[in-house]
Amino acid sequence: MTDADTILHVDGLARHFGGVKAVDGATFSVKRGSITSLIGPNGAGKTTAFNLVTGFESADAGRVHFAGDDVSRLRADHRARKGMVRTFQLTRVLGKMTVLENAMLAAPDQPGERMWNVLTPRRWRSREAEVKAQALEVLDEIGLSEKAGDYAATLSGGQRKLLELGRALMARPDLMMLDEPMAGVNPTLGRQLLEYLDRLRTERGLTVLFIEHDMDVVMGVSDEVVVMTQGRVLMQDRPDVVRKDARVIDAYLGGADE
Amino acid sequence: MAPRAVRVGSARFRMDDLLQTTINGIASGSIYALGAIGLSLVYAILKLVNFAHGDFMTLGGYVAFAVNVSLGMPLVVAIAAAVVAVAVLGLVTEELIWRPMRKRGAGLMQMLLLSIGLAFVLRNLILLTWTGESRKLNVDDTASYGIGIGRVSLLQILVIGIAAAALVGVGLLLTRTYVGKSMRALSDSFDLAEVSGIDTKRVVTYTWILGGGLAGLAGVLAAVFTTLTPNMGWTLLLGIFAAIILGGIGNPFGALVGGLALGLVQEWSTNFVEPTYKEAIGFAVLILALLFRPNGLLGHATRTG
Amino acid sequence: MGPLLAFGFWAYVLTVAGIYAIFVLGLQVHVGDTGLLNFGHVAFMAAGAYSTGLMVTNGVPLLAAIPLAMLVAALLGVLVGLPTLRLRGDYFAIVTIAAGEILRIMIQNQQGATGGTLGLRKASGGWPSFNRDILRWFEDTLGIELERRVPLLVITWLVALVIALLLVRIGRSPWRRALRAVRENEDAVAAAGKPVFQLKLQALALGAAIAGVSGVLFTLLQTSLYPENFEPIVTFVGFAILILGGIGSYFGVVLGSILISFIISGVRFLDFPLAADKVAALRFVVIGLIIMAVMAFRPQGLFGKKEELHLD
Ligand SMILES: Nc1ncnc2c1ncn2[C@@H]1O[C@H](COP(=O)(O)OP(=O)(O)OP(=O)(O)O)[C@@H](O)[C@H]1O
Ligand SMILES: [Mg+2]
Repeated sequence: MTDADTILHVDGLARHFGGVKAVDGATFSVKRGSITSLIGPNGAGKTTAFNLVTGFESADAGRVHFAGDDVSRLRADHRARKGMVRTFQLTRVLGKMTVLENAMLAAPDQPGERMWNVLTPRRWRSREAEVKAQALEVLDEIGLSEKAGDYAATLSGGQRKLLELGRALMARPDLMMLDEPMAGVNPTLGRQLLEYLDRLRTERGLTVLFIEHDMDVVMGVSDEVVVMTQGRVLMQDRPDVVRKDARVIDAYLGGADE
Repeated sequence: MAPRAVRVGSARFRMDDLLQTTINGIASGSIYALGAIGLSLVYAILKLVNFAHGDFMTLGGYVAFAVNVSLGMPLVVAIAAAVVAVAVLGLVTEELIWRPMRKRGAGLMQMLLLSIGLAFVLRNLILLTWTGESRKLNVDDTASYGIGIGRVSLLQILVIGIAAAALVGVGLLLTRTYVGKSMRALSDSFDLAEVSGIDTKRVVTYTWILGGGLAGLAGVLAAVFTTLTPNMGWTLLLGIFAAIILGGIGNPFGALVGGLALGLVQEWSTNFVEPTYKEAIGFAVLILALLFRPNGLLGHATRTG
Repeated sequence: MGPLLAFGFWAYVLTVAGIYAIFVLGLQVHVGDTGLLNFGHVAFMAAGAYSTGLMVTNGVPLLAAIPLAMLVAALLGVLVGLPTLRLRGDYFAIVTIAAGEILRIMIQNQQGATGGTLGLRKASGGWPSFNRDILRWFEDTLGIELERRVPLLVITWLVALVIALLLVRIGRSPWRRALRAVRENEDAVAAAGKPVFQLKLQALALGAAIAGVSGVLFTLLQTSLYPENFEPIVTFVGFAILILGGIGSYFGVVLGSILISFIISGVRFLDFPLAADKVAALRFVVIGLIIMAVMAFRPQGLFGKKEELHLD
């Protein structure tokens, strides 16, 4: 079912809240090394789909395959360790920790995070230095290096979005799932970041799946577009095909009517 | 009628024990439910986990004691006095503590810890005023009536009857009246209710009148049913919290179900284990229930977005 | 001699303060570091105390019983944590009180083993005779006549100091960074691939073990244990200390525990025309007012950092 080219395959995913079918049998897949966008009108179920794929909410039905493994039953943190890292539409910064600490937290393989190593710093000091250097680099890349020592709670909305992205980058994922990463970020910086992600794709083989409402951005950078409406996947195809599809236009206008 | 014997597990108990413990369970469950609904309303609307609620109840008990025993007035007057007194206490704390704190943007935990401080103060002021001696209200606690194969005491009838009337009243109030509907709107979203033109200040006032009044009533009934000590409400509070959590926090109807469930489980357990364990069993059931329904029996999942 | 001048009495008060300090250092790991609103902390103290008592009264030497008692407390932490740590914060708070009450009721009812309400006697095992040896040694070799409560006072505060220093050292580790992150936002931590549940369980066990130590020292101080020593009020006095000192501040814990212990014992000496039980009530009125005032006007406590306050 999943070939080597597919990093993520989602099959028949469903979740309802009371009477609302937020996600209603969504099926789509993401090609390894691609930039894929997930679009759809407000309330289409995109964020819920992200929550289900990453394990932050439990699905009523459906399967999630990641890098060939069925991860449907794994907890969120376990899925993240497997290389699937997401950001949140409503940012989740660690407000009473510094921006630098926010970034450092997400680095993988930290021996100092094990309880029995806490009293023997020699086991983690060198890794800690490495992590710090990386974090400073990432902060530089997302334009937050001047804020490194500030509490994250002091950041603006756009800066928080950036920090979310930075934290995800620190986790060195194979698949980066971004929920409206550009919302509130100044467009020039937004474009720079997209270029940066594109660079990571060629350098590291990163795959990006992102939710975005700005069609120019979506059509400009995506290899593939997944369109959701009312909890279902309407279609998945190349941007130029999606752009011309009558159903997609209809879905957006229909969504605007309600 | 000859008692029928039923075998459950290894324990042997009789049908009339079951009936008797059911009556007891409904009576103590009604008290939990009354306390729980008031606490739950305050939580739902004001996002305040009020640890002083048990001591509000205790105060209700003592006000009734003062009126009923010290002044020698009838129980009805005592109940009315207790309800009014605790409602007023609720309003006073709203004016002096909760509203100013909300204005300053105090968080849930800050308010919760504040309410613990208030609980200490109230309980010990009660202790200073009325001493630690246990008190009884002036009701006939020996009268009882046979019904079928069980007995129900006058006290139980009183407690169940008053509680049922109050609960029906609250149910009607919440579902049928404008104030009740506004309360439910506020519990869904305070801000949304405010922008949609509901007079939130008025609703908050009614919340304290209702929440405090119910606490006062629950306090009197608890005092009638058990004995009145300065620790009475505090001891009941944990069971009340258990009832609320069982029913799903912030849901007044859930609180009713949770209260009755807790009362019944505790009393039924006395058919199988020593009665000294019944509180522990109630709490164990709470923990077990949460294992399977982490949001309570009637609760729903919170939103992740 | 008036009680104000009685050194032995103040030594007792300060020992109690030290025991509270240790108890609250454990609570600090839960509440301040990890954001776990543990309202049943007293259960871990009870576990430390009663397991010490039960072991020594059944012939286990005190020195062997102490580490085992810490282990029992830590295991109880794991046991309580497994079903409850996935719950919302306010549910967790209430369920932990319930768990503590279950333990206390069990201790109370298992009269055969624990003595129930009659108390568990001679729970401190070989400590009283060891204490006498210490006092004799001081008198014989140094010619110093120590008050009999002094050795435990010194030991208690040494233990408190060691635990505080260890916690400060732990404080610089990535592990504690992860705990603080859990306190701030669990979802963010899970999204970063960190095992939230495990981290919480570890924090709960560590804080419980520390509370277990306070239970051991409590046993040495009192020699007899009663279930009513472990009512929920103890946890709330712990919270009063935590709030006063400042959530997140280890130094604040030490000062908070001394202050609160002096309030609890000190009100005794104000010259009120009141009966003893009224004075007892009065001091809890004072403690309640302190909690309220601190929460209202200085929620970060006397020594906490305002920026790190996490009460919302
Ligand atoms: N926890 C929840 N409880 C109740 N309803 C929910 C919950 N989460 C989502 N929903 C509902 O499910 C539907 C889909 O929501 P979702 O947030 O997934 O949409 P979305 O496509 O991300 O929208 P947007 O573009 O506005 O972010 C909406 O109708 C929403 O109200
Ligand atoms: Mg969304």
